[in-house]
Amino acid sequence: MEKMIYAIVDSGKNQDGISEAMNCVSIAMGLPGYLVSYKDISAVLGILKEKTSNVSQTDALEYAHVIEKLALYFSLLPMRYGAIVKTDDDVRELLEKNYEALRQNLQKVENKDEFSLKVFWDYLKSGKKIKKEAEYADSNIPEAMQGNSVHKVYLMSKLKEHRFETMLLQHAEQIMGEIGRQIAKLTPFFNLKKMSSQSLIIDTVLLLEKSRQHELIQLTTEIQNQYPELKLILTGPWPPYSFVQITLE
Amino acid sequence: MKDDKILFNSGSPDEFSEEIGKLKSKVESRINANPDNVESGLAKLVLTLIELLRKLMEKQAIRRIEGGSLTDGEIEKLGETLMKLEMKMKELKKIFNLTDEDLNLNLGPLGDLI
Amino acid sequence: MQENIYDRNKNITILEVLDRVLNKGVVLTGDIVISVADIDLIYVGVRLLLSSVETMEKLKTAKKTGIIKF
Repeated sequence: MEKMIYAIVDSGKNQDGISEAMNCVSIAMGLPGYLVSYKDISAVLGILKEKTSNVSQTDALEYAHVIEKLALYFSLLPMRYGAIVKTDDDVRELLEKNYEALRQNLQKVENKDEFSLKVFWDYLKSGKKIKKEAEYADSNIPEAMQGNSVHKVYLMSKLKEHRFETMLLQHAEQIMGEIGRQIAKLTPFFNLKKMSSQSLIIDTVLLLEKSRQHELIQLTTEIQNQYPELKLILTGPWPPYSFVQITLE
Repeated sequence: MKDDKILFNSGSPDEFSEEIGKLKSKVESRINANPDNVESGLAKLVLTLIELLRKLMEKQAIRRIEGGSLTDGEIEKLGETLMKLEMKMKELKKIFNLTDEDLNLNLGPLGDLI
Repeated sequence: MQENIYDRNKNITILEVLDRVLNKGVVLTGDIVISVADIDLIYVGVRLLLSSVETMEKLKTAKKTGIIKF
């Protein structure tokens, strides 16, 4: 029989509600979930009803739902969808081999939630703002560029384009730096991606104590007030998917 | 449960649909098994690299112009070369039926190429 | 329009969930992993994401053609 691993949990501390937690798995799988343990960590397993092919969106969302429920009872490291194994012994061996890494990660995520903040800017709108302020693009042309030849006209347009882009980038850098600094003040655990695309200038996930969620919402509001032209999307709390970048063999 | 995961949202659907497009292409690029795609995939790859080089050359040229060290004649030559290069790229894109968007290489922290 | 904000938020949430469940989390490799091959999972990923994309595209098109006003 095939089983799927949902998450690695800290089973050392909390012994209450384990059966409720395992019932969450049974809702999705049909059969109750169970724990395979090594010392104070355990893997939550669910028995697969049938061969997993033709997985649907519902399956993936259901999986996420189970993880959310488990997170109510345990400190946990969520598995990526599809961690399928054959025997419980394999799992126990896995836990033993990777005990240190798993322990450390569990420690890291204890009492914390993951949040995602995306900051979008309107390239064109922000650009218009800069264009108005900057006369630089039209001044300071090197002497040798004077003239109206086809090639010079072409180069002039490229020159202006590049100057504009440089200013835009500087403007973006300034915003990203400022926001990055404010996030760093909130928590040391964050992954910040800058300029994922022309409009998504900041894409960050952060790990923050559950009790401090309101601080993050407040920070987001402050950032919005500081930069009214930006669009912000803050989501969470999530189980710490993005902070468990480990591979188990 | 799912609905209250959004803690703050001042965006409109446009922002997020672009994000979705990226995710979509990120996943699609991992699947390269379809033989029909191989040829156009190759053309895309080659042209993207050429476009990358062209843009870099353009930037380099502008930097030198800004530096003020080029003569009139050198600038003319530069302009001519860059113009021809850009026209050639446009031709190639037309031949392979690729748009600027198709050629967009996401370089991670460097942001979009184009 | 209340209804569309609801749909939009739902889609954002679905995407955030799918991205996590399919692309993040602890990864298992090695001999003990069986059945679901990488390619299957990726295929699954595409289908799931595509269906989310379609919904968003519909929203986008609807907005463009003026059916939905934001």
